[in-house]
Amino acid sequence: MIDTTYIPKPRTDITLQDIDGESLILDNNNEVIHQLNDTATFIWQQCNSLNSVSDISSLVVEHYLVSEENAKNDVLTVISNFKGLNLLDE
Amino acid sequence: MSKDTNVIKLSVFNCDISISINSPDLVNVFELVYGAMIVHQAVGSFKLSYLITLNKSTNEISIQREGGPQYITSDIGEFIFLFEKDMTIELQKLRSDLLFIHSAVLEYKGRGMLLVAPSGTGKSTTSWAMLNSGFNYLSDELAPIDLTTRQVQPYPHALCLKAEPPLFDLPDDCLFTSQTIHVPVRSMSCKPGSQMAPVSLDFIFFLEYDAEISEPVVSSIGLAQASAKLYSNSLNALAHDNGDKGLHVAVSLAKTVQNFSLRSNHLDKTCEKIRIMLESC
Repeated sequence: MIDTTYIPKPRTDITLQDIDGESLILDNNNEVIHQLNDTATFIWQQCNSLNSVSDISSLVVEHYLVSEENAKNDVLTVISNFKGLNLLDE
Repeated sequence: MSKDTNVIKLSVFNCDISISINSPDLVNVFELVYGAMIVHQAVGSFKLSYLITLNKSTNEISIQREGGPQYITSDIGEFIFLFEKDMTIELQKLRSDLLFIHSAVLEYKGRGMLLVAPSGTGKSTTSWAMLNSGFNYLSDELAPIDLTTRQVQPYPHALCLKAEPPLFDLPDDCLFTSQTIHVPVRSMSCKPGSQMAPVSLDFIFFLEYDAEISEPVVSSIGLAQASAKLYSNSLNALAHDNGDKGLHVAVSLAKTVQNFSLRSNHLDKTCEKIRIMLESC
């Protein structure tokens, strides 16, 4: 279970391709390709092993002009999904 | 070479292939399956050379590529499968400049289209229906694409079905094996000779069979989704690796064509739907 203090660390052995605001993430180890919409792409781009969930939520508020509560919930959901899909280092 | 040995020459993606065969029956199989690719004179040296030998006492067929492994089988269907697999893998190595997609290729009024789907989804059955509905046939499973010109090279082997199709009778000279039906190009209703000309790629349809729908559904899909599906169906994306496992070639190809999802059930309605779409685009 992740919380707002969690700092996501993206795996370095995956391939990211930006496509007009959306992204494809190629996970060769698991032979899977993931498609991220523009919001998930933005959140992924803020995962730099330094930003916490709280930091990323603030960036989402600034970028998308949404409420803090909505941003926090969205970021927690998306990053939980990243974790569930094995895109983050433990 | 004994006097009973025949030599068949194929030309595939500008690669000349020599196949020496000691059995008239197997020559007939090759002429049926690869007839559209047979040439009488090789242009250059042979890039691949095969020796196919039938042992009459054991009925075993040996496939031996020069410099490659030997395969042995006594089943005609497996023989065609093993030969095709070896040849297409070697061709991908020889023409690593092309991007090979697991896809059917058809042409309509000069416009090329791919029908991309996993095995067993209905590519060949749909291709059979389409070539009987005004489309020209280039391949039912392999689309080699020149990334510079965006042209698809033909691979017109005999169309390979796993069961009798629900629409359009099969010609009398099909080859029935234990698991497959091979429909020779010479007996197809499409324009003769059209199968050997590359076509400009304009459309990609990602095919899904859906038993629940009453009408085929065609919908435009976004670039990211099209790129992901193309990449997943690429056979040699890694040959185009520039640090991204070849992902960029799927993206750049998807950018240059119109991409659609095609949920299909009724073959005749599907053919009509695609034809109308191609005429209106």
